[in-house]
Amino acid sequence: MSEPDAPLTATQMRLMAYVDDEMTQAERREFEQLLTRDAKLAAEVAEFRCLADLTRAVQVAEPADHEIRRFWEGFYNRSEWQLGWGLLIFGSLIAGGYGIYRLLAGDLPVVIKLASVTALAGAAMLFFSTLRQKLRTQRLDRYRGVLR
Amino acid sequence: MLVVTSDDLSGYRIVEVLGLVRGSSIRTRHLLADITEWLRNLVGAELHHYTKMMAEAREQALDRMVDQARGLGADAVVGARFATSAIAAGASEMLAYGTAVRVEKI
Repeated sequence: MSEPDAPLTATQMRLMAYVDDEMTQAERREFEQLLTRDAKLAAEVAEFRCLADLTRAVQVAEPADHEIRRFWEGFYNRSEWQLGWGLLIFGSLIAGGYGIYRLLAGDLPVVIKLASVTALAGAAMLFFSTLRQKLRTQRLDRYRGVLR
Repeated sequence: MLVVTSDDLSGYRIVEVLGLVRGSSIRTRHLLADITEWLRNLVGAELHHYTKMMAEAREQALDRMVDQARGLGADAVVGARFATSAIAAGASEMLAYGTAVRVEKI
């Protein structure tokens, strides 16, 4: 069992009030006079200031973010997600390919088959053109790093 | 450039009102992100891709508003506001607007 924290002394309370700028002008003057006489206390103030600066600089991660990172570190969790995506994409490609095959092998007039293939080819070209635009401009997007 | 939601700036006096400034951005996520968010929607969770999308749009809209204010020679934008609207499924517009002003220290 850990020891409970010792209660703060009056000097420590004053020290924290000084570092956090919570003193009146008179209290502040009095404390600064004390600092000129007590080198140990001055060193303690410097140490507290460093700690306060450090605390302000540290960005505390949200607990959910931390937990999500831990979730993705797990091999099973990653594999489950990747396998799920793999099956979804694979199944969609097979189904799409079969759909195109049925379209071309069916009894539809040649004009309709030709029109369908032309439209699909056009859609694919437009998609890849848009994708190339995106990839070319993506690295210039200065908002990519914005999270929330 | 100071951007505040209040109508005035503490410690400053507005010496000239330069008019309305605004910036907008419409952003969307890709299809795979939409599928992921749809899955999260089924179980209830924060939609991270959409949170990021809105944050990106907000920052870009804000920057565009500030750029316009800077172009007018403003020192600050007062009464700044954000407005949002859905443009299409999975795409949203973020609009930032305010009043560009020139100020001097009191």
